[in-house]
Amino acid sequence: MESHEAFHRERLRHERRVALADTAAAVGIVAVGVVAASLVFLEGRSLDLAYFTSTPRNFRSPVWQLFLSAAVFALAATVAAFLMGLLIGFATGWERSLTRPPLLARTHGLPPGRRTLHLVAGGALYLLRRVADFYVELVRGTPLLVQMFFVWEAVLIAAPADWDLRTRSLVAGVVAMTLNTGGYQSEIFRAGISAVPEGQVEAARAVGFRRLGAMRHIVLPQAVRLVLPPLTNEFVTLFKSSSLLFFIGLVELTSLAKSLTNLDPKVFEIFLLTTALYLLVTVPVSRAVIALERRYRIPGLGVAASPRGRRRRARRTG
Amino acid sequence: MIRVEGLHKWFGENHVLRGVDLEVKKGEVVVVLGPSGSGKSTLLRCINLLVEPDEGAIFLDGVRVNDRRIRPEWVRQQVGMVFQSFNLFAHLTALKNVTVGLNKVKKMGAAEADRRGRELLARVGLSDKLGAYPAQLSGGQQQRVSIARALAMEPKAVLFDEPTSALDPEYIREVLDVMSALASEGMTMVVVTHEMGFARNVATRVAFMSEGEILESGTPSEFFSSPKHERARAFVDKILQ
Repeated sequence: MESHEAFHRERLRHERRVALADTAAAVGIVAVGVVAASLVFLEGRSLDLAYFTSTPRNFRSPVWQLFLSAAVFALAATVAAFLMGLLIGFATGWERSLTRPPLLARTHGLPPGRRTLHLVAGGALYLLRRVADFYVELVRGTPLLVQMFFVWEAVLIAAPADWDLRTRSLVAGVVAMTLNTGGYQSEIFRAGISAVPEGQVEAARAVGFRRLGAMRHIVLPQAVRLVLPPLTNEFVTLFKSSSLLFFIGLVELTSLAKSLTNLDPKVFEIFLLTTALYLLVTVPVSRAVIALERRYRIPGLGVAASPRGRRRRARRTG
Repeated sequence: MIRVEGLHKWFGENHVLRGVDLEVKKGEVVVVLGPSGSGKSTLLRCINLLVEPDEGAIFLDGVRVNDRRIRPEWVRQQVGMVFQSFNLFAHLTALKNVTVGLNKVKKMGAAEADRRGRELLARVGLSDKLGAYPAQLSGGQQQRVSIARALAMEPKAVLFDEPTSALDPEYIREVLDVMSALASEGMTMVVVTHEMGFARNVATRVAFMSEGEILESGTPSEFFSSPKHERARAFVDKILQ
């Protein structure tokens, strides 16, 4: 018994050492990479840190502030589009996860009032389904850039006269991103909801749940756990795609980087900061979602426990 | 209590139920036997309207339930169902599986639902598994939870769709024991099963189905000793070998 304990303690110590070495190696590799890249790109000169606090020609703020506000803008546009896309994606995804609704609702044996109701509701559902299918194919089958230009032109033509150019571009950009991510999220939700076994719905119905209750209390809690990883992926993709706002004249990270390189030949400094800011958003988001997944993990559903999580739990209970 | 009259069901071209008549009285345990593909499961699913019958009538306490004016949810709360593959809600603990219907469908308070859930799980011998998720339970334990879940809604009758067919042999006994206890307490049950021991010892009546029809129905001793219909005889011969 005693030796068992000692063995276990030794193994834990060993695992901690391995984890430490792992982290050190990761940091080392990144550091070596940065140094190597700087040797190549800086051609012998040292990193110009003063550049970050300098104020470029035609700008009013120092470089780091310009970047920060560009990043905040890109993130805000992404979050807004993503949240609105979530609504579109869930609604159309759910609808598209159902088996195809019949063109004519079955009304046999219904009293006349409810027959009309069923026909109208059935027809609307059918139409909605067709439109949703087309929408998803359209979004997935064309480049986001094309969608963005198209929406932009439409907004430029149709917007109220008192909107200035920046407002128009902003609205067009967020709308285009919303429609785009909505289509992709629709597919994510369709797949996630379809992945919850039919038997779960059947059992819910057998207990007496209505369709909506079964979705809310039985299917959705399971589907959410399934769609979390692909949704995270979609958020990260969308954030990176926000660089396309560049093409409709909005100042986000990529366009800022590009215009700064036109002013100063500090290419390495500029893209170092650009890269760092993109990663500063995407990496914590991915990490946070992984933590979230583990936190709400249920045995037999979704991701497996991490070795460290298992150990922590074991220590708590044992 | 349950009366089925002239029930027909088509799945596309496939005529699965061809005029089924069945009457189940209060407190009866009717075991439906028959070769696979004979429509037994479809019959059960029609009774609680998980499958919509195409023709014929189903009555529950004299009320015709396959009527568009009747909400299927109302029927399903009165006729519980136990599935072959358990279908426990995968994201809920054993206790929550039993109480979620009380809580969200019957709008019972959490404390009261909890008390009822514990009671029911104790009844199926799972008081020590309240907090376990389905994936952490054996097949037999899962099926017992699902029986408790069906009972939670206080149904007038419970339908069992091959409740032991997906179980490893060592777990079949525990599920059948729970079902036998339920039968002896006077629960009305319709059971589709291949467990002949259960049919013989617990059933008040056996109905034999083949190709979408109930060919004969009688007490277990009648049926097993002298089946009248030719196909029933072939079936009994085969399983008694």
